[in-house]
Amino acid sequence: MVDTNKAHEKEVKVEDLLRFKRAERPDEAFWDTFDRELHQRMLQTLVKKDPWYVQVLRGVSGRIAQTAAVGAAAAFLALMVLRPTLVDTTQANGSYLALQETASVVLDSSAAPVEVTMSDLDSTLTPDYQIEAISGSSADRGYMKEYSTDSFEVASYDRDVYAMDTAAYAGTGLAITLVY
Amino acid sequence: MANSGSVTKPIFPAQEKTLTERDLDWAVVQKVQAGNVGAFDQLVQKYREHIFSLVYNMTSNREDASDLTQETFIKAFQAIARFKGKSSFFTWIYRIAINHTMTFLKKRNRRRFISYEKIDEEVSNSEIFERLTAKNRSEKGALVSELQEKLNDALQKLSPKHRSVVILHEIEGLEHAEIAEITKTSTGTVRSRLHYAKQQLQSYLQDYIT
Repeated sequence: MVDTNKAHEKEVKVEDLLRFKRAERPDEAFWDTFDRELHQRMLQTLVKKDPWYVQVLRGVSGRIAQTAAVGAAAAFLALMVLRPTLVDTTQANGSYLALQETASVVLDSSAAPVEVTMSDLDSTLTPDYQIEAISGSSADRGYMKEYSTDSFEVASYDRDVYAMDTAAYAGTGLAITLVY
Repeated sequence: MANSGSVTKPIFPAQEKTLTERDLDWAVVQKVQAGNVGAFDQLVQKYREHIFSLVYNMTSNREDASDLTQETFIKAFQAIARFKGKSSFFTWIYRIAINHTMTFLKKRNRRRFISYEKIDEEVSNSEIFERLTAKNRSEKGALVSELQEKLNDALQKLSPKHRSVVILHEIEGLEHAEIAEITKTSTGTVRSRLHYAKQQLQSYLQDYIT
């Protein structure tokens, strides 16, 4: 029993080996340097650091100012880019509206001759064939020539004008001219 | 830590009230919180060697340990206004040191060259060291250097979580409950980690264990 205890006492355990680590200690010179460096770093921290709420306020106000500046710049740029487009569109719309007004006036004015012509035709014709009736009644060659010539001149003028925008405008111009 | 925490230690015998280490630290903390910045130096002087030892054994690098220890105190200083005294100061600062070192070890992908501290010469005169020398039949100085290297290598092979528990218990001498409070785990987890870590170390250091 005694021998067993002695043998147990002589055992070297992991704990015994780890205890050697306690002996790994820096010398006094190390601690002098350590203290000096730590004081310097703490002083730097004291000088540089603001209270947390000041940092938060500064961050928030900085972001607001930054956002406002970027927003203003973006708005200005957008205005500068979009303004010419808006102006052009307005002019185009204005022309289109003017055209519509003219067209309606022309159509209205053209309605009268149709009615007059219809009254001269055979009463058995139904209103669905009014256009054919017009074609049929305009058998006068002299009138047709005059009508054709005028129509081509005006049509070519209108096409030149409206070809800038769309083909539809040009077509409309032709139609108006033919009626006119 | 054997002389801190719940251990009551009479500091001023003339006074009726005995103060614990925790109370003493809390009094210093309150001074710092009141604006006496210089009082923080008392806490630095008291805990710098413990924190350095912990960090040094975690990193096995003297320069890294010095930087991390300084940064631990700076972090504590910056956060001391928010310290409410719910735990003891030493638990709090150990926790800062552990977390800061863990973050450092995660960032450090590969091991840097190891720079060891000198081992106190008194160790080579200890009984256990005499036995080791006799067993290995080697010269004392050579054995000290060899054992130091093997011990550091073995510790570095452990995971940081297991390493920290072994260091806090076997080298720093903290109780299981104190380690549990620092690492925010249960005492069961601490015991389990300690048991596993010792098994690992035993296999790494079997040449020196009789």
